[in-house]
Amino acid sequence: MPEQSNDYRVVVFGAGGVGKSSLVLRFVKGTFRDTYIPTVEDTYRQVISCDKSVCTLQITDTTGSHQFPAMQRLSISKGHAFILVYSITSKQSLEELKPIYQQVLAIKGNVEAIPIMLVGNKSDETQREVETKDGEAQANQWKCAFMETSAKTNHNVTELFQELLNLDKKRNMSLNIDGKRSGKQSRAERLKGKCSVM
Amino acid sequence: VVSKQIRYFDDESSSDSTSRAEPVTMPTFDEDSADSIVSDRYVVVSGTSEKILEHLLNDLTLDEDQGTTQNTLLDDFLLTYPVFMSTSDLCQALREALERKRKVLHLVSHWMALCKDFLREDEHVKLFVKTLCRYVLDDLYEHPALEKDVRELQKLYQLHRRHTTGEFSPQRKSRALFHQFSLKENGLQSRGTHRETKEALCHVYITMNSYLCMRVHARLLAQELLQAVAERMDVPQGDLALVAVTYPGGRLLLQPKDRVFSDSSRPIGRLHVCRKDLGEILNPFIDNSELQQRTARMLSLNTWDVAVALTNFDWTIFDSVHEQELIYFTFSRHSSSNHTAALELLLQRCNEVQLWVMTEVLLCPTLCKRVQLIKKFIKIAAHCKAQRNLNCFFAIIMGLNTAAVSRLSQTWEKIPGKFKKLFSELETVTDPSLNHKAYRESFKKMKAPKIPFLPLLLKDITFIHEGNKTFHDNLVNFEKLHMIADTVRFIRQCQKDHMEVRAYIDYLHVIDNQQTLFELSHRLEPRA
Repeated sequence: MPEQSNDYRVVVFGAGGVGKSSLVLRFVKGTFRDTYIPTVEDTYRQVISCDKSVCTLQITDTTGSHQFPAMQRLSISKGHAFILVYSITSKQSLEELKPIYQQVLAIKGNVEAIPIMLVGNKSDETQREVETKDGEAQANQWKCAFMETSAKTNHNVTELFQELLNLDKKRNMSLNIDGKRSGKQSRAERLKGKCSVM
Repeated sequence: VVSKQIRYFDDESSSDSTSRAEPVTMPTFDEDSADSIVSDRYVVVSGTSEKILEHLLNDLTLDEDQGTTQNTLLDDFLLTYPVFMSTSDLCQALREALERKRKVLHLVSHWMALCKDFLREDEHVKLFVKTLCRYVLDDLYEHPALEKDVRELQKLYQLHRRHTTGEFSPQRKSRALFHQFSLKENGLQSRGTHRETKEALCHVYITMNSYLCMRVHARLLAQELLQAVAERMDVPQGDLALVAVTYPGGRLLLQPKDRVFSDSSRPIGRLHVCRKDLGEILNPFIDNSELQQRTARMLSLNTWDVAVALTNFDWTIFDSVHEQELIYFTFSRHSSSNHTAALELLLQRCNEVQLWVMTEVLLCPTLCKRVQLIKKFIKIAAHCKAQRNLNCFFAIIMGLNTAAVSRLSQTWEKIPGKFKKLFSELETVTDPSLNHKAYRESFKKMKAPKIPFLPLLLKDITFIHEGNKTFHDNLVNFEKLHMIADTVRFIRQCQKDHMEVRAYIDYLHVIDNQQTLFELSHRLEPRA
């Protein structure tokens, strides 16, 4: 397969049942089309603006069977940015991210320059097991960003991907391709209370 | 009379997605009117479940060779009905449609062929088939033509009662009689025995965080399990005790004659085997000689043989995976139905093979042996791929790819370039980029029978399910169901011809007369 040099790869990790697919789907469907046909590879791609030019955002949703999240060395070594998803209703799902983080660390070596977002999904649920501050604390420890989302109510989903792109200091990227990227200042205000970047 | 209960799109334009914005509402059809013409050109898009069933019955021709459109719709419906109506609802609806007995009969025989023993234990189906059978028997005197159907039904009913399965699937009908016959025999035998003995994968914990995964029958006794563990771990059986941890802190010492599984085929608790003094059998961090033996055993195995054994194991499970299991798995993931047993076994197997690869490598204390082991696993993975068992292939590659194994740089450095190259080629197939494009393309090229990487199939169905609504304004979204049916039918295509080769091999047709063979030879190429 020919390597596309201007691909920006976002890899989504998380245990079974945390809503990885819903999250990806929300984003993909929100920005793409109504009927979703999963075997078409294009539905995972979106053109974004990058350094005054365009590149393709490619989402890799790693697939394993439900009890055991399969992690693929290849997706990590090729990935540019990472989203680690847990469900706020399951402490276990946050625990299960730890070996995944270790894996990213082991393969990438130094993670400081790599955009990583820890995501507490299902923020609409009332049966909370993981407090927001626990998620923040974990993100702090991992030196990564943190956000709570709800794929169900579409809360913070686009913001998640935009914020992830903002984390990349080597490139200047935006989901909007019209080039009119809103200033960092105003976006930070818009996201106030929803997201904290460490 | 215009009904809004069912919608059609023109088939010719449906390939163009923009035209889908304008639904065409068609009149409801009277029995045997123009509907058969319509069905060739239109695809059912949505409708109430009753209307779709009614439409199916209207359109059903009693010919053997129906239009493919019709067959697909029927297939879609029968595969996916659990999404929008229960089996008892379907039985009820069919009961209400009984004035069209022949068509109902036809539909039911398709249904039974498709779902095989899947419906066996359903009481509603049992009752309904009984009713239908009685109805048809009543008419037999007046309509002798029904005899064929009655025989079919009785066969189904018998099948039902005797708890065995047969091969009535419509695709197989057209094949040569010889094949069909032998296929049936073989199918009956292997499936029958598989079902009767009810196998399970049983986890027996040897230490707090390691277990033996054993394939056992559901009526297993504690002493049989101990014997198997003793053999596998090379420990005298007399030293061992089987303990079930029923709840945190609760321990139950199982007596030799105790059953390991409860009636629901679930173990009584988490099973532990330990020494009678409650000491652990094996400590993965200390027991050196034991571990060396373990590696030596693994290294002595022939990689092709291991791949064959792994693949045979997977086939016995994959063969009994039914298309509908994928649907039940996606739509009722949290309710513990018995409808997904085989599928779950195979998924579990995928995880276990992955853990097995990691365990073997990481329990091997010497560097050069570790290099040997990794080479073995790369070869086994390649053989699994050659045998078109992609589920196992992925499991092995993913096992080698986990950080715990892939970080062993000293080990990987010593792997010969040839193997490294092979590994990276194999790894490319598992690359998830572009939604597993690499795998999808190479799997498509493989001939059936083949075993797909099942987690991806489940992911596809999950995405279809979550990405599309089941109902549009109370009408069943049949486009979505068609997509789902298409995805699960993939299983059928993969399983295709699996028994065929065996059936062929089991009944070799030979000429045992040398004279005749010689004559044939001369007839082909006459003596010069």
